Amino acid sequence: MIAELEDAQDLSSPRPATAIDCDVQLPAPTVPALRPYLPTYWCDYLRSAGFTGAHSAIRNSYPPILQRDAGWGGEETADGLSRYLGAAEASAPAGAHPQIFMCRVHTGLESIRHPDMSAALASAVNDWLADQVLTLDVRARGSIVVSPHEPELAAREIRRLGGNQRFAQVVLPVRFDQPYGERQFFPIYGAAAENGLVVAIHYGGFSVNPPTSIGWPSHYMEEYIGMPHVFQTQMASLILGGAFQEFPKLRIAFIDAGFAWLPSFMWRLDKDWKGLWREVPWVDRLPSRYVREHFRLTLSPLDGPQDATDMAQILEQMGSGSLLMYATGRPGSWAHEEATALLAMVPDGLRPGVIAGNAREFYPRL
Amino acid sequence: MTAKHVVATTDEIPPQGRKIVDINGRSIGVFNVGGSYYAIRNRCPHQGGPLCEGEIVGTVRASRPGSISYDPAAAYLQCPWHNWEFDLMSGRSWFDPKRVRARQYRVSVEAGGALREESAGEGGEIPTEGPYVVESFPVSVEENYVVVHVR
Amino acid sequence: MPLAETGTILVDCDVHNALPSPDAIKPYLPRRWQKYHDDYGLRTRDNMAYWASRPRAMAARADAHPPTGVPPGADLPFMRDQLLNEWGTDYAVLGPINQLTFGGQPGEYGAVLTRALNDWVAAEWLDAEPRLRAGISVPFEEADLAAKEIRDRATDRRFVQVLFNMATRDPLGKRKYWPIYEAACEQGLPIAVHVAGVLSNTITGAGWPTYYLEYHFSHTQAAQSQLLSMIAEGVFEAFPELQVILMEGGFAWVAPMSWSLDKYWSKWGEEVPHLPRPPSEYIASNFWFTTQPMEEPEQPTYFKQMMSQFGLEERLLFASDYPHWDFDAPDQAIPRSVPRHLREGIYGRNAAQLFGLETKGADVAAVT
Repeated sequence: MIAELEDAQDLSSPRPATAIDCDVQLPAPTVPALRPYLPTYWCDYLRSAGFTGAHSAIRNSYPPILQRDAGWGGEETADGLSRYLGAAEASAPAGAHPQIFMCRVHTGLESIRHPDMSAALASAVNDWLADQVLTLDVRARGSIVVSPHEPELAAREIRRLGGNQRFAQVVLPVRFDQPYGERQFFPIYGAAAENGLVVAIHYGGFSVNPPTSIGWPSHYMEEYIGMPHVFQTQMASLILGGAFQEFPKLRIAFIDAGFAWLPSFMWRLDKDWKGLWREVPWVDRLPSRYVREHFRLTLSPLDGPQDATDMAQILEQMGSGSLLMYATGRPGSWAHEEATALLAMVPDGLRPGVIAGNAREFYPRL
Repeated sequence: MTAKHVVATTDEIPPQGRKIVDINGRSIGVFNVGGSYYAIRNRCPHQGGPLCEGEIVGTVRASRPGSISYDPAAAYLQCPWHNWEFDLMSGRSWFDPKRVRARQYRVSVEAGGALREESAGEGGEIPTEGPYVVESFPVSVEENYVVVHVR
Repeated sequence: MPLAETGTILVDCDVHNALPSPDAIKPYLPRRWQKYHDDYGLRTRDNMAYWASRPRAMAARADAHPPTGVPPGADLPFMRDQLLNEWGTDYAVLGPINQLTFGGQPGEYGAVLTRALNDWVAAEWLDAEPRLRAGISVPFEEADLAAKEIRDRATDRRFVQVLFNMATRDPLGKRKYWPIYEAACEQGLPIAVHVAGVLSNTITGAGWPTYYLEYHFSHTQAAQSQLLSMIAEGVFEAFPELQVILMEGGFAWVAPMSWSLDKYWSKWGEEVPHLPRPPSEYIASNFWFTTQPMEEPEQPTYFKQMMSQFGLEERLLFASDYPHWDFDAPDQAIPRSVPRHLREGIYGRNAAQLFGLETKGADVAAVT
């Protein structure tokens, strides 16, 4: 089940994977597990402070039933992690081998505002991932965690790890205190773009703002179905802020954002831009063009049409068959079920792209 | 067949100036851009707004966020409604010059003497502006005139 | 020019009149409140900067400034000319632009202010022009005071809806707003939720937008959030008759949202046991959408596909949003691809039914 290193794909001339799972979710390592990767000061401080990890904030914000479905609560031992990858492998679309798994650790890092603590934890998690996870299976790829509170420190971390080709992306939570198109975040994009790393923006996150413009919703249902609105805010902000003029090589993956909302988003932003572009003169072409060139979205249980006809229309309206990427959200089961159901609706001609081709083309390091 | 419509003396529409006239029931805006005259239909191709009443702005370029260069010379007309911008000299929209444009008319500047001769040759009156203006446009040999060509 | 299709009733469901000056409200305020209004008065605190970055007097069309020098929307004769007579409008439903700053004002001051605004609308607009109808401006963050204004005002049936701002301090599904829905239902009035407003929350779920363009674009997410909240909280189980009009929020997002709602409910519906049926059904039974700003995909085919997936043409209400810059001209806004009978509904029959407006001498029963 787990490829031996001796049978490793030759990374210099890899056989193309026939399936790329763009989102395999790992639990955050415990503080003891991070100890080998933390400076002594932080080891001692975190022990004396009784710090158990920022990810407890995540636990408290998701309904337990969804956490159980997501398979959280497993240990981050080698066996536990292998189980996650094994689950991901077993979730490949039928007949698609070999595979690549994009691994992402749930850290809740952005809930820590101490700049030095969050930087130390970020580095420790990244080093742990490289050392403990990516070595388990040569098909695994990693996501670099950084804190969006400190863009300069984040850029430094990205450059530190840039040489490790097993990292394919940098992750940011979609919910944050300010929209990601603001120039303060540009150091992150610059470092990522120059290293051929995609910036992956994922569902959730912790922020001073509620995830809506109208206050805090009562039910998880509202938060969940409403998360695309936050993704839409970020997509608009990145485009209008000129991130893609500043960094033409910048690429953004939306992880677990849904996608059926994309046509109505593009129509509205294009329409508004035609009259108001002069406020942002660096946006010198239709915003939807930036969407097609610089964004990709994963298949997600969050939304999606109910039948193949609607799916074909939505994909046509998106204006490109290349925008979707397969993701199981393993070890969760619901996400995988939905991905399978959605994949079945994708027109035959576009399916190989969704399963692997689109991600392979989009991620410079795959 | 295209008819010539005298709409103003050249003095009436100085540089940066404009005059909106009715020709055969069509409202048309005549603009002086750097000494040359251009005529555009006063009806935005989007939803029919009074395009020629809009602001005139220059040309802006920004290769990156924050790096804005601006040439203030009159170049674009902004529709007062949704602010769509049209190149004054070609009528083409800024955002989709190939497919979205405002109707443009040929404009010439002609001397009063030549116009009077032409009119005399055709045996008719010099074409006037608008369906509701009864008086003919007086043309004198000393002046130059802005002439819009409308079918 | 008047609407080309003869026999089509034209109801413009979103027209903004405006106070000609800040002082114009004072004669309608009780004396003790006039002094308060002068000395402590109207404070807005937060996001007016967006309006300032795109001036034109609260985002108006450049050609909508009346020659009298008052703000766009403040001159009735000019509005008659430029809007009502220009298009052959049968009815226009007023939402005074000042509700954006008045509606969220706190406590008794908010109640007094919105009452004065309604009195001004009645006296200087509804009395003067028979084609006009209006929304009742209410202090929606003060539910008991808002409910009182609804009950007091509802005897004047020229007020056809209750006017909320989209920017509320809590999602509209929350129980704190339910007394307002109770009063509205009791009086047979729909709730109209219009984009923007002040004194609420950060304008997006990811912080403050940087540009006016970004801000203008964010209205559609707010509308979606409000719909989500009202459905999820069970407002329409508590008030099955309540009708909600979402104004200026668009509607191309409705079909994808419906899929999400039903998908979540079928798997995790135990979180919301008070919702006995697929939640997308509430959209068809309780929501309406004004058409402006009309969706404009590049390809006409996409518009047709979207309308087919949306499927709720009888719940679309034409609106111009006069005098704003993103105004929709009545004769241009609705694509010809929409079949005529549906287009006629959108232009006015749907609104006539919802608001109980007379059409050609025959009363149409209100939906509620």
